[in-house]
Amino acid sequence: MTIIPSSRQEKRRNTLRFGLRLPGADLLAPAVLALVILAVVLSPLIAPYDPAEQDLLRLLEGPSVDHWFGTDIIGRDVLSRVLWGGIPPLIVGVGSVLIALVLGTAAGVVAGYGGGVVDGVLGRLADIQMSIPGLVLALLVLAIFGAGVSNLIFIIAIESWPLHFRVVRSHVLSVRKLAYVEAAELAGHTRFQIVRRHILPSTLPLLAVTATVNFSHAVLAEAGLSFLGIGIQPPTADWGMMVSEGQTQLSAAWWISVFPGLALFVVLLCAQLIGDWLAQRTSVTKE
Amino acid sequence: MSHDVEGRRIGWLAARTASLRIPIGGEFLLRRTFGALIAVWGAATIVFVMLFVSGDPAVFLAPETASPAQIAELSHAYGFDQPIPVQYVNFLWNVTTGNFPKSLYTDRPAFEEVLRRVPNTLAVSLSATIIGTLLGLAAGYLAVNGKIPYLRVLPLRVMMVLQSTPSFFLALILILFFSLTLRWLPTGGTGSWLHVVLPIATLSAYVAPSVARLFSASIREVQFEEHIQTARAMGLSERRIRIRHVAINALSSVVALVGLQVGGILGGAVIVENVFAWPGVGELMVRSVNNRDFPVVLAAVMLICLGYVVASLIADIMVILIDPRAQERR
Repeated sequence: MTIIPSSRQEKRRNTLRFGLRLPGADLLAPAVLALVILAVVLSPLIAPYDPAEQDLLRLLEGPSVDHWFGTDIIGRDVLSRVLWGGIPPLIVGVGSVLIALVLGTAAGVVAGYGGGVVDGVLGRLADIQMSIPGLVLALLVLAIFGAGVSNLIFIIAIESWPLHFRVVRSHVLSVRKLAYVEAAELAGHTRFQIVRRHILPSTLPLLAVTATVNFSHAVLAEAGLSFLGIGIQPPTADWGMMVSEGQTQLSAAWWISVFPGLALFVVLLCAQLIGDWLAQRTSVTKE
Repeated sequence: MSHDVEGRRIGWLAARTASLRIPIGGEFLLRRTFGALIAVWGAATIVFVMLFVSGDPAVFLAPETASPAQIAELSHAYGFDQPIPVQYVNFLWNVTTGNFPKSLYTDRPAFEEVLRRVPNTLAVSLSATIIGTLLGLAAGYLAVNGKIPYLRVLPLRVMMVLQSTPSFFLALILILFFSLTLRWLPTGGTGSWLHVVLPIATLSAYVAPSVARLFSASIREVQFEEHIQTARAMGLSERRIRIRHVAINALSSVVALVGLQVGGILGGAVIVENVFAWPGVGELMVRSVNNRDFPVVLAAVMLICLGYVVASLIADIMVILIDPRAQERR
């Protein structure tokens, strides 16, 4: 009786039996996410009502044929508002991830490739950045500078650049000593060329993972701030804000809060499944 | 008679206490505490910079109805009319001594207002951290060692769903179910121990998923290490190996993770306190932001940063108490 093979076998059996069984299952999360994004982007075309249109004769009506998701406290159609309400989280999510990616990658390459003082300073900066809880920093900034989509994008990007920075930096550190980078150096390429042609492409799989993680963080942060009344301001429709608007009506009209909350949940779940799948594929450990 | 590491014969008591020796070096403690001080200083600096980038800080700290003369007076009292480096030093001094202007709303010292809320926040976030961690550990342990296949799959699936649920949404679902439908628990506020159940449950659900995932992953990793084979070869029972040798070894990474999550937990506490109208620091902070009561906002931000840094320090020390090797890895 051997010990290692049997436990290894057990491990393999586990993954076989409880892993995803359907061949198309990996595509389910991306497909659902794409569908939600498509619906949100097309909301001006497909929303049955104007999200701001009030129908004072039909307040707090439950889901029906006319209003699939019911109406809210001033008679607005919840379905239309859920469709429109996806726009701020998605814009903030994508926008802040793009900025954080650029910032974090640039800083990571500079720190990893340059080393020395620059590396030390950037590393310290990332540490200090992490020493303020994200939501608290965002609260302070939005309270001082005012709420709005661009401020939200900015503050969430500032909070998340260390995520990309750390991953890119350690990757660059491990790659720069490899033969192909040394060969490129010997061939007389400039640092910029080496970084652009040889180092950056190899970070892309890692960035795919950090970007996905960052996207769900960003959407969650946007929703949380809007829920607290410090993010997106009324009358703009927004998922987080709609959940908070419905809280006082929870006993009479659960649909006001539950549908935007579900939309948020679906987006976050899909992003997480995609992130896990990517992490498995690229064998990056998530924090 | 027992033996010490080098094989010398020592008394039973000496052998017992040898393993109880605290494995933390003075140098590590000093370095880590210094790092914590730097972090607090960095946070204070960021707050200072933001106050100044936005314009005259006196305008923020004075009531909206204040006359220019009153603003100038406050500006003078807190030294905002002095050169910026002097102001910076003053600001740091005021922060360390807790000297913030009076709350514009209640007219009491802002720091006192915030301090009064601290026990409430501490009660919820500490118990949620403990309960959430225990839940996560249980789920992570089951995910690897569960007897029935379902026990191995279900906990992690539930955790994954919880991880994707925004805590304010989960809170509303819990209210909808336990307060409005079953009428077992109050929807919010304070009064009895029943009021604290839902806030703690919501925040625990934030803590548990990442603990569960990390714990099961590191159990899977430790499982195949050589010392586990040795334990098996020695003929220890599977149960003892799983708990005493695998799980305990996998624990240190979990404590480190909880330490990293403290910031998120505090952020989660802000949201949970607001949903359940629980009178903690986070609820006060959001209310003060909406009332434009900036002295209180500043005091709350600084206090939360301080709490965060202290909590991370404690987590770091706990990691080393559990696994002294971590000290050398840093």
